[in-house]
Formats: sequence, C-alpha cells, structure tokens
Amino acid sequence: MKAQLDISYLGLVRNVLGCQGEKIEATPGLTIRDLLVILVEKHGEPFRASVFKSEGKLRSTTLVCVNDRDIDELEGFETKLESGEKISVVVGVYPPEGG
Amino acid sequence: MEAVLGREDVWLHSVCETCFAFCGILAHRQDGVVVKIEGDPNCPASAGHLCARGQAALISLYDPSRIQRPLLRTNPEKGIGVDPKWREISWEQALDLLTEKLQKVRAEDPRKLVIATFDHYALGVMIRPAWAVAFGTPNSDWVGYYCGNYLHASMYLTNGSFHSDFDLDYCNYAILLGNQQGFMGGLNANVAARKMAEARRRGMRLVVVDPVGTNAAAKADEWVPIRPGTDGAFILSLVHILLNELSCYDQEFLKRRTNASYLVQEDGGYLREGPKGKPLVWDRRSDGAIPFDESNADPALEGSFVAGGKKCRPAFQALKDHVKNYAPEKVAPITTIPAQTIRRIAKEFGEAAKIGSTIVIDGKVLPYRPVAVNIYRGAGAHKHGTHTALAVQTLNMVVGAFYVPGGHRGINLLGPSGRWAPGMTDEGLITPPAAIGRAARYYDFDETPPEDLGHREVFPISTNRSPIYEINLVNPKQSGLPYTPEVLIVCRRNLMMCNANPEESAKMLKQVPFVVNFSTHIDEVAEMSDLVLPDKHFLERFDLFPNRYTHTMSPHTGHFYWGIRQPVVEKPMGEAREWIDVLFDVAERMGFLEDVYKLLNMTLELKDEYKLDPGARYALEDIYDRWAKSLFGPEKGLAWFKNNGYHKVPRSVEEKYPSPFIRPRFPIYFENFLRAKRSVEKVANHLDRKLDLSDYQVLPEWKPCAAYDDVSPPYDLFVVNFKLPFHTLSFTTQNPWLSDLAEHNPYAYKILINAETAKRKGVKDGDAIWVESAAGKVKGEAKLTECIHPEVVGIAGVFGSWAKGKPVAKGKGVHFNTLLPINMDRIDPVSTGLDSCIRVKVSRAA
Repeated sequence: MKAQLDISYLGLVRNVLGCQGEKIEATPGLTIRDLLVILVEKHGEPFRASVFKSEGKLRSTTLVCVNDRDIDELEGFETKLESGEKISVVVGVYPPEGG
Repeated sequence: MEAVLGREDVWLHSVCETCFAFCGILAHRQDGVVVKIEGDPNCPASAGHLCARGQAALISLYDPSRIQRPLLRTNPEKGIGVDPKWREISWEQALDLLTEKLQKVRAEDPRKLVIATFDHYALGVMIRPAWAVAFGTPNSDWVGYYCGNYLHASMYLTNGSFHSDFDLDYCNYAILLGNQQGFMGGLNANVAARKMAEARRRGMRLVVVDPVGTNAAAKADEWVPIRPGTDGAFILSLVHILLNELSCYDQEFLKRRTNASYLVQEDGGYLREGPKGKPLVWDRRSDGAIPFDESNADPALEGSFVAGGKKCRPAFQALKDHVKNYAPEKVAPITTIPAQTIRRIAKEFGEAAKIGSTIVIDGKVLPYRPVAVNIYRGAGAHKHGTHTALAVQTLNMVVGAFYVPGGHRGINLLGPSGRWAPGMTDEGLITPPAAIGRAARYYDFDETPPEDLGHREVFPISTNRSPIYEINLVNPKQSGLPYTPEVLIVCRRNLMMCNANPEESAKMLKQVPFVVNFSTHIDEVAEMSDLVLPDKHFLERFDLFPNRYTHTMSPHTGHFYWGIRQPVVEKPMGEAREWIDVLFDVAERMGFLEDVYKLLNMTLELKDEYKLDPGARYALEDIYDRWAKSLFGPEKGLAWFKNNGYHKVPRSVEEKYPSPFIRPRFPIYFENFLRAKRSVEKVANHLDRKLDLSDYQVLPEWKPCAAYDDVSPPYDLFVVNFKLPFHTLSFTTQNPWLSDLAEHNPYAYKILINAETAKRKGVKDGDAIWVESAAGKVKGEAKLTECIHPEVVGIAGVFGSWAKGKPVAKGKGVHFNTLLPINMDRIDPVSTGLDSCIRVKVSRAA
C-alpha cells in the first residue's frame, strides 16, 4: 500500500512553482532524501534551484519540516516518512538578524 | 486589580521598549491613568532598575501629537517639507486600499513588497519567519544602519552569537573600543551599569579608546583619544606586542580551543588530509602532519614545515608574522596614540590576563582570564569594520579570554538545560546554534543569483545588508533583480533620519509607488508616505517573550528569562492598532493567513495540542497563550505571565562560561574567507558587477577608510557621532522629558570641537557654526571642550528632526547623518556597514 504524503510549499519556492502544495503517493518508509529527489524530478530546475545550493545541500534559507519539525532535529535527509505525514518545504527562512 | 476606596490603583508587569535592552517594568496605573513606571525587581534584565528613557516613557504614551486615525495622502508630490495634504479615512478604507495594493504585487511578483522595520520583536517572531515568508517576499530585513552590522557577522563567526559582551563579574582590565558598555549602552544596560560600577569599585581598570571623551571615557581610568577609523591598527599593534615582543599568549587555549595550530599553505588554504579532508596540524610528538582532531596530539603553534611535499606553517605562525606589520612606531602616526602608550596598554592587558591561572566557581575549575576588549558601533562603523571586529576577537583569543571567567563572551551559546548547543563544521569550528543563528553559518555559500534587495549571496558574511537595499532601490535597473519594488511597508524605522543624507533617502522613497507607514507620529518618513496608519505605543501593546535569546539577553543577568509586554492602559489612544495584528487581518483578506499559521506552528515549535489550526482565526493573545503553554505547560499561559511578569531560570556555570565544556573551536584564522571570496566573485559575475573583494582575507588587517586618505582642503577635520545614555536613535527625541534632559546637557544638542582647534579657526564657545562634508551640511552651536580629539568634531544622537508632526523634537540638535554619503565606496565590502568616518570643514555661520 502506498504512503500518502501531504506537501506544502511556502515562501520563495511557492513563487517559482505557483502551487501551494500537493499530495503524493510514495513507497512507505521512503526518506526525505528520496522525496526531494522525486520533487526535483517532478518540478525540475526551478524547484532544484530554489531549494538546493548544490548537489545534496539545501540552501541556508531552506527549511524542510516533517509535521512542523525541522528535519535537522530529526534524522536530516534520512528521516523516514509514513503515510499521512505533513511535509513542508519552505524557502526564505532567514537567521535572526539586524544591527 | 486592587481597589482602594473604590478607586483603581494597580501595578502591571510589562517590558520597556525605549532602547533594545527590553527591561522588565512595573507600570502604576490609577483611575485608568499611568502615573509611574519603575523597573521590575523580578526581571533579570533590569533587576528593578530603569533608566531615564524608560521612566519617561509614560509621558510619550499621552503625547497629544500622536496619530489618532488612518491618514491618506492627497498630494501626489513628495519631498522634504512638502505638505502631504492628509485626509482622514476609516480603518476599513485603509485596509481595503492596503489589501488592493498588496494583492496586485503578490499576483505580479511577491518580491515587489519591501518591509523596513527596527521593531525587533515583530520582525523576529512574526514578520520575518512567518508573514513575509507566507506572502512570498525575501525583502523584510531592511533594518538599521545605526547599530553593529559590521560587527554581528564577525561575532556569529567567532563566538557563535549575535553580540559582543564581556564578563563584568570577574573582569579586571577592560578596553572599550568605540562603545559604552556598562554606561547605559549595550546589552542589558541597567544590569551592566551596576556591574560596571561594582567592577570599578573592585579595582577593574577601564581604558576607553574613543575620539570622543564620552560618558564612559569620563569615568574610565584612562581615556585614549584615537583618530577615527584607525582602531584596527591599534588593536593589531597590541596583538603584535603580545605575540612578538612579550611572548604573552595562551598556548593551551590556542592549541585546543582554536584553529591556531591548523597548518596553512602559501596560498592561505588549509593543508588537508586529501582534497576535502580534515585540516592537518604538525604533531610535535610524531614530527609529522596529522588530522587536527587526533587525540594525544601535541600540535605545534610555531615554525614552518613541509608535509606531503607542501610548504606550510601553523595558522598561529601566520598570525605572528602578519602582525609584525603593526609595530607601535608604525601605528602611532596612524592612530595618533603614542607608541609608548600602545606598549604600556599591551603589557597591562597581557599581565592582567593571568594566563595559566584558574578559578573555582560552583565547584568547577575554570580558566581565569580577567581581561576583555569590547567593540561596538563607534570603532567599526567604517569601511573596513569587519576587519576591526575580527582584530578585536583575535586579541581576546590570543590571551584565552574567551567564554571563561573575566573574559569576552557572546550570548546564549548554550541554551537552558541543553535546549541548544553550537554546531560544528567539518573543520571543527563553531557555528551558531540554530536557535540563535540559523543560517549564519559562514562556511558554505550559496552561489545562486540573489533574489533580495540586500543581495544576500553577494554579501554572505553579513547580518544586515540595509545600505544595499537603499542603493538598489535608488537604482533598481542596476540591481540585477528581475523586479522593481512597488510597495514599501515601514514600521518603527526612520528611514529619513537614521540612514545617510536625507535628500538621498527622499529620492529613494520617491522611487516606490506606494509607501505605507505604521507610526505613532507624522514623522519624517510619514511625511513621505502615501498611507499612514496609527501604530500602538509600546505601552499599549502585547508581545510575548520580547527578551529574545538572540538579541537582548546577556549572561551577566545570570538567568534565562521569559516575560510579557502587555498593555498598561485599557485602550490605546485614538484608533491605534498593533501592526502585526493589522498585517494578520490583511493576510486573512488576501487568503494566506493559513500559511502564516502553518509557519508559526513550525517556527514557534508549538506542541501538537497547541498548534494553530490553519482553518481557524486567532487573536494575537490566543496565539501567545498557546505559545506560552506549549513551552511551560498549561498552568503558565498568558494569564500567568500577565499576573507574574517573568519566568526565569538561573544559568549554570556551563551556560555562563561554555568554552571549557564544548567541542567546537573558535576561529582565529579565517580560511573560509577564501571560499567566500570565490563564491561572491561568481555571483557578482552573474550580475555583471565588479566588486572589491580584497577584504576577504584570512587574517584581519587595518586599511584606511576613504576619509583617512582624503586630506584635500578644505575638509580638514573628521566628524563622528556618539551616543547619549538618555536617548535612543531618533525615536525618543519627541519625548518632552528627555528633550528637557538634552537641553540641560552641555553636549547633547551642540557640536563638540576641541578648544585648541576652535581657537585656530576663530570659533568661540556658543558660536553658530557650519559643519560641511561633500554630502551635506549642518548648522549648530559650537561647544568647546578638551574632551574630543583635536582632529574631530562630534555630534550626538539622531537629533535635528524636521517633521511638523514632532513638535517637541523639531529643530532641536544637529542631524549627523546629513553629512553621510551612501554609495558602494562608502560601505564595508564584507558586512555592508555604512562608513560613518567622514571629512568635514568647519566655519562660523554668519
């Protein structure tokens, strides 16, 4: 049985994709890394350029969350996904700045 | 609420916002009127004390000049002194108009919206991480030019935090370089002032290096007047004397806690174990190169070696060789500080560091290095300010005075009870914890073309690219961006007074088709705006946890703490609203509020039971209640904070002095600058721009700013700006009590000029004089004094308001920023900090 994943796009990545989100069916137990490969294949260069700085490296302003938790606090790219989970891909999250 | 004989008489917890210390306050309200504001004894940020600004805040709450209702401009002509011909409109009309403008730009390209604010709380908690992201604009970090933007990135890089601070509990010898930490300046000003007084009573020697004999200088053991823009040369000379003349440095700290032992090649790069491998050190035991993190190594700090056929030397040796260029005899004519004074201060600093000594605190044995040099805006607001800040950090590190008792430290490197800790690069170097510096990790750079007005990818080692916003707004076609800004939202940010020359700022504002300003007054920006919306005074506003780990919470408070800024009056004046709330209304009208909520669920890290339902609508108070309960449990919701003010947790020894307890090392050699340079060059090529990349160097250097070399007559003097303890930027100038203080202060509204210099120019005390730079000129009253460098004139604060809507402030004092030009030659090429080191001529006004 396929896993149903609910993906939201927020911030600058939405500007280039033109959609708020989508539902994706995938193999259960796939990782965030696998999902991002699927999304790059599906959405092509605009998505890749918006989210990644180079092969396998997110831009410093990209935030990927699973059920609202930063993957950095989970297992990073190796975080496993189960059916019904909500994944957010956000671009444009900047460090606390000012001065 | 306590009733006395049927009359209301209550004290309410809140948080001050007349500067960026965010002290806890108690507001005394009788029969609906606030009659007194005091420091909240339960607040670690104020410890029950409050400065003049905080106490005077209540009079500004009732200022009759405040805007009462939304105002629409009817005069299409804009300019300084041009009457906007306001028409009062309803909030409904204002929201319709704002929504229409924002809908248009969001449909065309959301990046056409720009937000400029110095409202740290709203920006940091609600706007930047949520509202602006949901809208789709990256242009929301146009903050001030007035603080430490040359400095913050240097701190993130070296101490893993936003700030420069030092341990007044144990420090015995402090050098304040262009700042007044401990004299109502800097972090947690009220606490720091008391600790400074206690430290001086204890015998701490204080040396203030500044062109102006400031309040700090007046109370110091020694004031060292320095020529503006030469601080870096002075500090590097101290480093040279310690390393090359006195051999006074902390070998253990440098070997174990920094990258000083990493081998560097002739091209400046690390010698690595393979192309992308670990940096190597020279192990004196095995007499060979080994990875830096190998246990039981005895790394060399000095010497030169050949490893793998490549010539190399430890980074520390490179530093030692580098600073030989800063012999006191060479630096004295640059700084005007005599060579023997430089030598004496270096010797005193080195001896006071007590290298090798330890101290026991709470049963833990810690290195004891009771010295620090502290830097802020005055020393760094120059063309090469990043290098000055890095030189300062180098000095703190060579004596080991880094996150140990008595020494320099950043803030909040370790979170309460292990909630966060710094990160570490593959090279073993520190990066800020995500909680206080997400993405401020300056080791791996994006090479994509910039999308934002600040050109983030062109200036990757910076926390604030605000001057670039201005340069790009004035010349949008030259910015290389695929859009031109159309809507500008401004709140609590005086773009006319606190930038550079106002005529230049006016040109910039006129470029933007629709400017909306949330403001308490028709100030200088409001006069240039299309729509002005009445903003709440801070004493009318709700903010949960305004004391943020990133910006306003120093270890010298002894605690971590969470408080509330709540309204201390029943109703705001007129129809004033909180701008976050207004923007949430707009998001609802435009249909993206659910995305704002989704983002808040992530960024506030709300637990499942407190998450915001994207389909619902919450008042700000509801959101804050959920946030508080999510963090502290169901008993500590908003009601608890309203009644109790602060929740606080004492800091452990590890949280105050983390250096001995963490693995990441502090960089004293900036190999990553070579990578930054290559990356910036690629991005600049994308934009077809030629940039000066020469400041991306591996070791700090002093370089003259433009004013240093510009000796062409008649611009024979420098002008500098300095801070007073009872005013903050331009926003306290409309307060009548604080204005009264300034009028009675002999320096606040005057132009300081050295008595000898004035005599030479025929200027007498009290004369009206002109001060003129290539960018502009200002007139004021001369104040002759010994307390300023002979080559310098000094202008305090951000005075000289001209807006009719600020009748108290209007026409008082002198506007320093009028003298500042703004262009790419006048910014620090790394941080983008605006160079405020300017040559001027002085003449008597007729």
